Amino acid sequence: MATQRWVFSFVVLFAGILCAAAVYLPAVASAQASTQLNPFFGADLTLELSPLYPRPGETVRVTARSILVDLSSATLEWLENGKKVAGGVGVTFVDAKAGALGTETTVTAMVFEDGIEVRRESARIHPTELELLWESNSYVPPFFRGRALPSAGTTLSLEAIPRLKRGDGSSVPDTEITFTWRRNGYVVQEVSGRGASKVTLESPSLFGVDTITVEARTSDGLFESAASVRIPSVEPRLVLYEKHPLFGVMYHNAIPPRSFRPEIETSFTAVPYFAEALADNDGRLVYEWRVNGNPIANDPARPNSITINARGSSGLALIELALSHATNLFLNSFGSWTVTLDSGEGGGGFFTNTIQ
Amino acid sequence: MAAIVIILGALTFWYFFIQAKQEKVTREDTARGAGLAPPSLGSIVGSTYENIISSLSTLVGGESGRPSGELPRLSQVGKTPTAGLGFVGNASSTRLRFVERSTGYIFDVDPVTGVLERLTNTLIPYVYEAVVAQRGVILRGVGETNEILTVMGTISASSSASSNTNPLLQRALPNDIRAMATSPAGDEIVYINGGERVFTGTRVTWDGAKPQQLFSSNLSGWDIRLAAKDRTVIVQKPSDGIAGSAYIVGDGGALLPLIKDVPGLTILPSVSSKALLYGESSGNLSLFVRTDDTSTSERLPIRTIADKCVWDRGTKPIAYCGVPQGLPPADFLDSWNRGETHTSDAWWKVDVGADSAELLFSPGSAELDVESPAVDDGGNYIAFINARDKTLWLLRIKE
Repeated sequence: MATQRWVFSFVVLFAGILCAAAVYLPAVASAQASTQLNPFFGADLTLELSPLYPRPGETVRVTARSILVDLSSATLEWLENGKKVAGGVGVTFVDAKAGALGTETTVTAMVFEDGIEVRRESARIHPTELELLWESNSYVPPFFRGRALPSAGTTLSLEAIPRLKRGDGSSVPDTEITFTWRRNGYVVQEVSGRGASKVTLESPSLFGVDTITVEARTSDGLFESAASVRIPSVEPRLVLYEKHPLFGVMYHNAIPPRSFRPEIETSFTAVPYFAEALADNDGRLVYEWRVNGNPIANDPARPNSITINARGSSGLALIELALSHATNLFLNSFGSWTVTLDSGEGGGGFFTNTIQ
Repeated sequence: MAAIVIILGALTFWYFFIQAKQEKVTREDTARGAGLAPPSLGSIVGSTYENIISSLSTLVGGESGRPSGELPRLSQVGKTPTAGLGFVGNASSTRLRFVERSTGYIFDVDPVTGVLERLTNTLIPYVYEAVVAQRGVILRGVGETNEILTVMGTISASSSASSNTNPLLQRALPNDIRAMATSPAGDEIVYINGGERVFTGTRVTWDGAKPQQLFSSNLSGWDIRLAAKDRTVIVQKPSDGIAGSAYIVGDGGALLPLIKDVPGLTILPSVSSKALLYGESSGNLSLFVRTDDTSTSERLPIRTIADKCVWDRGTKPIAYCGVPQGLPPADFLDSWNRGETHTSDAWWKVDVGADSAELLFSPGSAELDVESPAVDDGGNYIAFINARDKTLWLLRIKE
């Protein structure tokens, strides 16, 4: 009976080891790119690549690791594409240079004990490239030369550009690549999948910073790559410009906090940079103007514009503008500008505010 | 008899009443400018430009023109905003062509004498951006519903011996073109347009041949540079400290990396070689140069952005850059693009072959914020817009 129990325990233990190996070994394999694993137990050997997804021409450190063998006292020999490149006692790593796109570099490590090879392992380096580009759909004026930055409530457009080239020189098309998108480490299942190289995601929350990562891999596992970007959220910015009757909106010359205009009457246009809007007069944007503390009614067609006539006044105008959004409660922006206009005949009365 | 006297009196009263009214109307018309001569379309410049320009070739720093009638080394071509500029002609006979922002009128300037000639009489108000090419101009503005309008314009042949101004023949391009550029030879245009997160790059010719789609992207924030050997380069629009990349558009729309992950990237590929100037803006400004796609980049001893530079069109790899004379703010690129900050630039000459940069011209008291510079084929003149007020300026390269 005791023997049977001993045999049963041994069988259970052995099965457990097999199960653990079955779970553990694929995990190691997936983490090590194209490292080939020896299925035998005993003198284990794994090769780790750093960086995990080398780019063309990049130096890759290949490190040998073993749980059962003390590699620091063992003799290792390293081959790169079959040619010995390093070796000696305790030489546990070697630096190899990744080739061009479409090339394969094989790095082999051999472990010797008492002059006898006890273990051999190879890693294949397939250099890849993957770029991750982004922009926001936030509002910027026509002909703006800068990037549209994300603010809370806007949407990010992201585009992954993979360059995975086979040995025959052909590129792996996006449709044969599985893209896994992550936000702050968590997979975004709705947009991930085969061929999903161009996606849209919500912008980071107010004052937030998101790390967006994309991983690209082919179904055969030969090619893998990853890229990530850190995207901060910005606050929408109100900028005031003169709207000239001949030249249009003077986007090249923002109204500074204090300025003098030589005209009696001047029109101004506010531009809500990076706001959630399709246009500066988007109906969802709520502009609230005040001039010298007096609220000014908006022109429904051009709520972001105001015309001020200083005839008969002191000429000094404190223009205040508060911007909010009908549905995006995070959008709150404020601007104030002190503008001195030529007041014509002089006087100390109130401004005439003309809606335009 | 009494009736006759009454009638004569009434007529006399009526005469003086009408006379007084006519004088009043005349006075009011004169006050409104109606008494001025009709638009002088027969003149070489035209009424609009004459009315709003105070003088051609404002002399800078008190420098006087040359006795021979040549312009001084630096001159302000116009005092009103300019939508775009370019040199036309060839190395031996070059003219500076520009588009007036308020009217869309096209003007030519002789860079030697400063003689100005208006070429078109088609009024196109509010031209925010214009591209001047050898075969015509491209005018861009904003429509009623905020859409971007773009037209290709060709100056028609003179229809009258007595007039030098002609209509601008227009052909509309699709709405909402986000970016565009003309080929160095000026015979092709590449533009990016689209919507619903699909944006395409398209190449068209001035002749109106079938448009050819070059690439597609779900990003709209691209700029285009057409470089040497028909290289179409696209670059992400920049922001301070935000990584940007530039690509060459390859066969089948493949994007081949030209330069990657540079914060606040601005680029200027050469039109005659594979040399590249690029700027980095991340707290401060740096300008780099490389001679071809595989060479390493060299940092130049000037702090500016590539948008303030222009390549000489000759065979030598030489570029000219407007370089801020003061220290720009940390977020210079963003605030400059929004018109919130301006620089006072001096002109520097960059010799890529020698990895050197030397001061070419310091404008003294003139505050020039260089934008959209262009060099003529002969390498004699640089024309540029002063971003402070969008006025057009001309610099003779050699003293």
